[in-house]
Amino acid sequence: MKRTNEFAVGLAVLLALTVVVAGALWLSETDLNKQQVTAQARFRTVGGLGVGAPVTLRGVKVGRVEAIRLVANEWVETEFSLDRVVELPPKPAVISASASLFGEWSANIISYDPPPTDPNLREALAESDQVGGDAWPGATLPDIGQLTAQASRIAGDVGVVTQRISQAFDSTALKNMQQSVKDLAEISGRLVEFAGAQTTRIDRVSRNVATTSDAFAGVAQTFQGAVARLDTATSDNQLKDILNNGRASSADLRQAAGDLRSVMTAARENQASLIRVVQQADSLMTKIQRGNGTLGMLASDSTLYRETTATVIQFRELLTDIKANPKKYLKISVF
Amino acid sequence: MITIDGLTKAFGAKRVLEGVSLEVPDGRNTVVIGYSGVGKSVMLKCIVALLEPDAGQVVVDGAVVQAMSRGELAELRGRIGYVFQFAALFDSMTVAENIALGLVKRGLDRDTIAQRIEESLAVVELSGTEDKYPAELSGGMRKRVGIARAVALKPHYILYDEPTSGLDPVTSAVMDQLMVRTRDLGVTGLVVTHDMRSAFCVGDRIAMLHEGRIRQVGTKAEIQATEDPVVRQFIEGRP
Amino acid sequence: MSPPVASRIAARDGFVAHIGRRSLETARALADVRTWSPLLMGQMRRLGVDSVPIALFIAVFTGIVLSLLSSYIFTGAVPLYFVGALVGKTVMMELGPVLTGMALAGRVGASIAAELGTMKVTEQVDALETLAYDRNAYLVVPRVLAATLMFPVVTALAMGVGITSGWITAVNLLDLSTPEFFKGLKLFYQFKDIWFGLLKSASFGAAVALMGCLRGLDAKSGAQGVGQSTTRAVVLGCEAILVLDAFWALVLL
Repeated sequence: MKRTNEFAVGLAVLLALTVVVAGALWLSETDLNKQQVTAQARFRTVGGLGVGAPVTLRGVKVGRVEAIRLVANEWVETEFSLDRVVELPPKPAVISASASLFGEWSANIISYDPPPTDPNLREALAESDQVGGDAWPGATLPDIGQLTAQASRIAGDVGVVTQRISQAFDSTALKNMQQSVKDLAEISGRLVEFAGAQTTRIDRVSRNVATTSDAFAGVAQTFQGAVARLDTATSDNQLKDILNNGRASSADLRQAAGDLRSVMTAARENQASLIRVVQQADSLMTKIQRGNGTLGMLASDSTLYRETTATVIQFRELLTDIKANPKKYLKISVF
Repeated sequence: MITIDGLTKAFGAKRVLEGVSLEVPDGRNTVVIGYSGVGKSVMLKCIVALLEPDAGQVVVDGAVVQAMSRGELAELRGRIGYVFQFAALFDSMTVAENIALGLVKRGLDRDTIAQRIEESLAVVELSGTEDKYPAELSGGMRKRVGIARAVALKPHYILYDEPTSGLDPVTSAVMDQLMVRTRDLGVTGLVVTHDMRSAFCVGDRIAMLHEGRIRQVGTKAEIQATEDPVVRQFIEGRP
Repeated sequence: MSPPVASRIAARDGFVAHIGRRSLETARALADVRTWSPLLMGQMRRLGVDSVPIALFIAVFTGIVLSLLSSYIFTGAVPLYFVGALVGKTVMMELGPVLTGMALAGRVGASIAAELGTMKVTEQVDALETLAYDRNAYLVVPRVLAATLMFPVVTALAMGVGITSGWITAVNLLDLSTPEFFKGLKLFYQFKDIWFGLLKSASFGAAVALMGCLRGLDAKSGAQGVGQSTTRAVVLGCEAILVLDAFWALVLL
């Protein structure tokens, strides 16, 4: 009797221990065999990053956040555990960003060189890097809500810019040109709508993109007609090139919108965010904004030509990229 | 020697003992008789501190039971065997395990324990029942095992609570014999009973507990010749 | 404190002080290792291992219900893989320990109270004392200790089974794949979840066994007395579980 008691109790205890230990290890994804290394990164703020959040490299999970602590001079230091087998960039930096609309955050390892295009990020990383030490430089992307607000602000700026352009072209010779610029203002208005729609329903986003690109096509045509007469002023059909590029872009954009919608139904995952889209849009807008100073001198200055062409090319690249990797931009399905 | 001094005990409003004083001399059987529910068992339980009296004290071998620490109490209980009215055997254990329980507590070794079990069962003439469970025994057998359990500890005193109640005359007589035999082994007995036949058979001294006090105490002959009407009525069993 | 003084106090003050005093007596009796240690294994078997089937039975159905209910709640609003998160979290932190505790309060609490109550009214407890045993060391400590040690063991098994049954239900009855379920399960998992549940169940075990012992040893004579004390032991055990549950949620979350 005593023996069987001991056996039964021992068996139950062992079983329970197995369940608990195995379960805990498995759930926390601890691999006892895996060799792990630790790394630190320094942030001004970590946003919503928490202990246990995944660490990714080029989108692949390679570790997790082990600790987050406040350190001197208003820095936050985070500690990661990383798989030893992973080959890291020669000079890594870490971007903390929200991974989904549910508030899950992840730390993404990128290469510090070349620095990211976003000026804010670049600045934050540089500041963090200056402190030196073992810790990698880190920066935090604003979350979705902030981003959409940012996007609508940028779109607003574009509106102002185009208004200025329309003033610059306020002469009888360029009447049609002015009209096309007005249309451009309308597009920017739609862009504001677009930004607003991000937060509500992605479905509408794609529809808006379609309408926007339609309008853009129209604008481009008018623009071309208007500017045809300016061709003489420009030595080598530069404006025509611009407009051709613009029209091609709008066609691409329209097609992309169609693709977006089909992708929408398939894309049920929601790990990635709008961030990249808006980031790209941001730099695009920045370029447009930068270009506007010379836009007044459209007829005579080739700087504008270069800027505009670069912008359009950039835009096309973005669209090609959207078409090629729709999921990259559209993993934001709202539930 | 056990000296009971002014023992008082009430359960709620019901006063059971109202100043019981009694001496239990060594080497003899003292029998306490009295009506059912008069508090005889309560008195026994106060002796081993199973119950705490409201007033009065019990002195065993010169030490006051009520003032004892837990350790002293355990030691005292080692010297006093207690035979319960319904035997109070542990029904999850065999006869042998029941008897062994108190011996294990004393820290005796296996061989000694086995030997004691054998001896004590022989005393109560129940050899061979070691592996039986209490439920397999008759009432009289259970009581005898109860006695064996007390005897096995080799106590100085044994307190018997109604040892013959509920038994047939023959088994009663066997119990009486047992109590006499244990006295002859040098154990002082304090028997509580309302069975007069048993009382006269076992008792060297007899005391009558009545209305919370000791009514009369004396030798067997003295009680048999008593002129106290209450005692007379009780021993003669008149209605 | 000698027992007579203690019983004098008990007669005068209330129930809470009574529990406190009993707990203290039990704690003190812990020192009497030689008395309770040989009995511990038997009680662990009786109170713990023998309770595994009922606990697992409950866990299976808890998992099924949780899985179905959460899928019903999440339909349309939340991705279905959250079923895994909900099943895992609730089974580990709340339903595993509490439902197991409740079931065992019925089984263990009642059996202790009935056993000790019967021993009390048949004077077996007194007999123990006359054999120089401390009733707390011999009867209470092994039971309370066994329950404290074995409740977490039973609960851990129940957790495993509950989550497994939730998973099987999700895969078979809901439109959910195994990786999705496990993704949800891991999504909000923290190690704290498991030990929080196990710690809770240990405290439940102690409470249930203590209430059983308390009520059993206080049983009034007669079959009715034993029945009454059994009932009250179960009720008190369940109440203690809920109170402790709230307490731990307050203190540890």
